[in-house]
Amino acid sequence: MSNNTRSPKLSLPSEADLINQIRLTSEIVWEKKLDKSHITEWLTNFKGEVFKKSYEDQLALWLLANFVFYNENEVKHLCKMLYSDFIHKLIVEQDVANSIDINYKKILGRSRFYSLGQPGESSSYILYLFRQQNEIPLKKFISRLDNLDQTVDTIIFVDDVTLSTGEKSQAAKYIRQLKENNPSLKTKRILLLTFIATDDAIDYLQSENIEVVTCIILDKRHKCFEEDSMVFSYFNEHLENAKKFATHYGNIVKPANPLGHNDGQFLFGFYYNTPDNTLPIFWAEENNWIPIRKRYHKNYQNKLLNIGKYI
Amino acid sequence: MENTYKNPFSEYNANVMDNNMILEYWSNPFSFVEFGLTEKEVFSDPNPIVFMGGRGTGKTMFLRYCSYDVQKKLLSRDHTDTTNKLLNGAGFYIRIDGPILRSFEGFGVSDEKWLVIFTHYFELYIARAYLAYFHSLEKDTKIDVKFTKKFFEDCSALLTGSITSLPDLSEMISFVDSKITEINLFRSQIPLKNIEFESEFIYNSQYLIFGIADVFKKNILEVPEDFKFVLMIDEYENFLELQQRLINTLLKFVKPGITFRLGMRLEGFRTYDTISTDDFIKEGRDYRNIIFEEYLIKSSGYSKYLRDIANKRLSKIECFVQNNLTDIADFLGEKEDLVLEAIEIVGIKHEKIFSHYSIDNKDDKKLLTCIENPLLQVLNCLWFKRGKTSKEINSAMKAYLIGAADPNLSKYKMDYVDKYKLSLMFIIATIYKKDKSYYSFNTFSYLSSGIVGHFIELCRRCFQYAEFENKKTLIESGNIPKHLQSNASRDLAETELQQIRRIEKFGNKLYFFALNLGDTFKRYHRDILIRYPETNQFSVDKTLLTTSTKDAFEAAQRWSIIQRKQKTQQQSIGKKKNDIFILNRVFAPIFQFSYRTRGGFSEEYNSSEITALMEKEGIEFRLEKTRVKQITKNNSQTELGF
Repeated sequence: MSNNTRSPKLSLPSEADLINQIRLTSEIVWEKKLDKSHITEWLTNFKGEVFKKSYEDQLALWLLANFVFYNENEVKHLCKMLYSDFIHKLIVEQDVANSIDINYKKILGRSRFYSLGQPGESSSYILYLFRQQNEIPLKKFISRLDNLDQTVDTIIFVDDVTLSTGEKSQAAKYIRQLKENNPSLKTKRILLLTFIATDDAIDYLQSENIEVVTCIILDKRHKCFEEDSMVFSYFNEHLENAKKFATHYGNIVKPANPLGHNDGQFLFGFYYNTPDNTLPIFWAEENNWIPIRKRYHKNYQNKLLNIGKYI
Repeated sequence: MENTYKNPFSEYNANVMDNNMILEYWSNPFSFVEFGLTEKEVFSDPNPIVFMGGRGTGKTMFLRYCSYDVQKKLLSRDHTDTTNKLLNGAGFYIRIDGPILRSFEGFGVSDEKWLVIFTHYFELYIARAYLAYFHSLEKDTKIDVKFTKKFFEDCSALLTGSITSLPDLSEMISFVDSKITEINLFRSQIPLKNIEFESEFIYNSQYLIFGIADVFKKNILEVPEDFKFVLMIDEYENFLELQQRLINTLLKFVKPGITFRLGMRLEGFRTYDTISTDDFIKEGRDYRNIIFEEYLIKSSGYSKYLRDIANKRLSKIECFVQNNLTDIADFLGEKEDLVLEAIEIVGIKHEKIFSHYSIDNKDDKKLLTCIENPLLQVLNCLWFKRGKTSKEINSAMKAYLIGAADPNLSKYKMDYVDKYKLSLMFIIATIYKKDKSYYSFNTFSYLSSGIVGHFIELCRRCFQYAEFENKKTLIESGNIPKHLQSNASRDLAETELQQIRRIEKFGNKLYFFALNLGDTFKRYHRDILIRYPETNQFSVDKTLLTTSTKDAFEAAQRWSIIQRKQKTQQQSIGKKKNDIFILNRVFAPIFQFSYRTRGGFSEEYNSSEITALMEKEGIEFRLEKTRVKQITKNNSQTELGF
């Protein structure tokens, strides 16, 4: 245990109060996917190596209480919101308020939806939900870009999150590669529809000629340990301690990115997966770490893992 | 098996249940509780009946169950042969949302005009219900009802003045709908435009409500002699005063073959007046009043009724059925174990009890100690303080424990078992600065205070806690630990208390009223001399309250923050009879007062004290100002003077 523990004047809520708060959230938001035994098990990861064990548990529970979980209904709702924002954007652009129906059909007629990433990645799953929720005709979804109809002028990608910039932006990298393989794409309008994006990622993709439509924009306030973090807006005296704590245990499981991919510091996840930009103490499994929300990694190599269990 | 689990108590708002759910969850209160009328009378009594009760007492469930739609489903579910039979009556569940009712006032339109417009609306609303019912009979091939030409002509004539303009029921329904739409359009435009309400036809009160019923009875041969239309109007408290006057008039001049059942909150009558300025309705003469809570609270069948409600829900959950866990007591336990609870609190620190009673003598302490039951040790201290010697007490206690003879045994046993057991538990909680736990089916029945909704919500929260704690254990063993039950009861108490502030009118006053009453009763329960055991009631002469205090007081009743005991009682021995009220027992876990209500002593308040109790400061607690008389040998509790 470190000796330089700061003692903030304002205490975090007690462990019991935090667990009670998480219990209430569990019923409504987490749809009972989280129970006390999971939490207790997860808390065993924290051994009192940075602060007193009880304070570490409080910090961990405080972070968990602030974790935003998007359940199935919410993801479906996001699909609808995203589509409505997309249509709104195009209609506003065309200034066609008086003939919305006709122009909506025209817009859709010239657009095709395409998965951002390989089949099996989250985009394919989101695309499926997106089509279902918005009742978009199946023929508007394509699996190849090399035989596009001449009338199509817009390609729309759909994904759940777009958080990184530069070299770490998977969306930019993937679309760039698609353009190289399909030169006709270079003349098309490219749109990325994403539930959640950071303001930096939106700016970066814009510079790559990719327009972003999103429901939720994250900025520095959403980063857990930034000075303006919303998570610690009331208990700001605990921010430094919490960062120290999360970095220490993050280093055990993800030394390269102890606070999440690209220093994400985010606190959210979906019912089907947790983004790697979220703090690894929630999802990592390395070094016998017990995750509270498991992350399903992409297996880019051609390995079949643990095939034996199916034989 | 875990996949079949669902919180059995997660749905309980009868307003949003469909007819199938009403049937599925229905538990007949008449099977368990004596309401002063029979189930048959709910339909057959020609006089109007008013069902009063707080939120969650089951009024809506009850009225909806009696409605024709649900009754028809019931007969079909139970395969009762309805061929060629009309039921002996048809009940129509009528609930008009508060915002709609409130839209019939203001905007520069005179009260007189609004009354005409609302009367027209209400006539159409009921006519619509009648016509939909006839339409469903017409379509029902099992029921042999011949709608004669004369019936259609008379109905058409009533609605339009012409016997041919509306030839069938579909046309009539469309016509009525179009008239309702005219009113709805007027209501939506009047806030913005200076317009007059116009319609080709404006119906007077009783014209359609009594007229259509009459046409049906006269023209349909198959209608039984005693057939009744029962109009069941729910949430009557939401009707504006003028609107209530209109319906009160219908109640007063009710015709044979048609009657009313009103569901409303306590004190839900805004007026007893009728449209005629010199007449009013009177309980007994014009209607019967059944107060749900009062019957439920006092009835010994109430807990059986709750058990039936709970067990029906449990039996819908497959995993519980498979594990033979279909009795709510399997989960909550039947009754609390006060001795065990006391032992858990006291542990090995028995000495602390003596220091609170200022008992220092070693020999006395030795004789008064009771390791196996700390409740008895507190009782011993109490007796000691009341003048018994430690030897006498020890002898009585031993006699009680081992079943021997002793001159004081009978009183000792009575004091412990009948009189003070629960109070002793509160004293232990006070001495050891712990909260008393509230758990078990029996306790929850009491805590719900006659409000079925509270009981269901207590159970829902318990199951939610237990599921979060360990779903597998819940499903397999059923047992919900008492600390989780206690958490659930406290949560509900907190939620209910906080919700008081949201009450639009008097919210803050009522909040402080509950807080101050709770605090007062808490202090009685912390009195180590137990001068007034389990005091959680007060008396007041409502007729002496000032107008504003009376309004707030009645709002407290309407929201079931306080509940009137069914019969007036003496405030205390030798005093005059007055209305007695209890603070809703659902709050007990916050204030740590008894979950049950005993007779005996009541706090007595006058008008200014009630007013003060509705302010933040409250009033001074009286018991602390009292002096206990010098204790003499043989004096008992009733001899203590103040």
